[in-house]
Amino acid sequence: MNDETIDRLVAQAQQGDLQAFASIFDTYHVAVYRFVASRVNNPSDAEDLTQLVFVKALEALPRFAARGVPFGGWLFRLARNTVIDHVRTRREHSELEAATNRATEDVGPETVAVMRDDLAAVARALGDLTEDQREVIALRFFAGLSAREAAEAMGRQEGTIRGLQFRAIAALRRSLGLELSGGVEQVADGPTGATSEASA
Amino acid sequence: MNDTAPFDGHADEDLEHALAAYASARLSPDRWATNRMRVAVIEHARSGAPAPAVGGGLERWWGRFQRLGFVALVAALAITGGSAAGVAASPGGPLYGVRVQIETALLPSGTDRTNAQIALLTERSDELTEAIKDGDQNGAGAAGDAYGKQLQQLVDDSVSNPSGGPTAAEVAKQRADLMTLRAALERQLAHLLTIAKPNDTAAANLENNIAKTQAALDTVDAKLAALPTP
Repeated sequence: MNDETIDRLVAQAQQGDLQAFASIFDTYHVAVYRFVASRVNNPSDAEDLTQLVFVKALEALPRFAARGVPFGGWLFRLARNTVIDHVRTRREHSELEAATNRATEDVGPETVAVMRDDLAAVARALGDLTEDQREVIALRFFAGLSAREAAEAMGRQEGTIRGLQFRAIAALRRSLGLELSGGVEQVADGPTGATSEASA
Repeated sequence: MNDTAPFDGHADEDLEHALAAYASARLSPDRWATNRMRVAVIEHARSGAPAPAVGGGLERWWGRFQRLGFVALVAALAITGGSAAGVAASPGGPLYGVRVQIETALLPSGTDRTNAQIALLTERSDELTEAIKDGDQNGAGAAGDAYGKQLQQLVDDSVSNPSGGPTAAEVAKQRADLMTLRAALERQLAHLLTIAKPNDTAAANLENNIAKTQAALDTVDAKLAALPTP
């Protein structure tokens, strides 16, 4: 769904169009859930909080004014604040070792075992990141936000987000044994814009 | 949201794949969770209630209870075939209202919505017919009420105007949906008039729904007449 369509759905939802709000939910719920699930330690909490994010969004929607602010960034700022409130209330630190452990149905037990090992390695590598780096990875890769939306969600500059992303990727690659022969700087030539941050 | 992947270079494929696999396996809601969230959010939007607090003991337990209730009902309905759950979720049964609520909340929001709504309206009409045939006044009353609500929602959704100046394609789509709806309403009206004749006990309920269906047809006709010509 493109930005123009989202903007129109938001405008319709602001006028009380329930169907438009349902479309917004359908578009964003997996991304929001993924972000939330990466920040809390069990699927039940992730489900409750995702629900709450959309309820809060519904109530705050009349006050949302686009004016250059991407809706995705605004929504994920709500999601981020909801998670922060939850963690504060529950006095729990977010853990990346998610409680879900779904096996893949179409593969054999050996493949499943290898996949589990791989997933556990990714979980450990994510756990080694700083809080900010982990949040950027969750917003950019798990929720699929643009750098601009992630910046809006975290209340940071876009350049800061790219820098955090660059360092997070380098750390993940090291942890997972995916380092390139030419070093991480070689990768920064891509369109992520991380090169300037890395050299800054 | 941005469709551009954060990684574009070939060198990043392995890491991108690893993160995507992790997100898919460990961070994605299953179908049931998606349905539960959708039902809760859309019902909340419909009721206009204030946001509940999450984190307190009672609210958390209520959330769990709702989840268990939803799973139990859906699982029970999935294996009905004349079972107790099937009876309970039939018109007049204690779970009928919940079933209608869930079916309504799970309606798709995209282009298939009108057809899905018409299918639900037809189901309510069939339930009403069956209850009348069985002489089940409670069932006829419940199905009749559900029919009226479903009809109202269908008409409200179909005649609402896209904001911000609809495009020609949207107007054409709305006209096509309204024509489909009009044909379905005519069929429903003819059916209701047929089953109303030999029956006395459900007469008031039927007359009420016949009047509502006729009014819905008038609303659709008025909307069709008001649409800009292509």
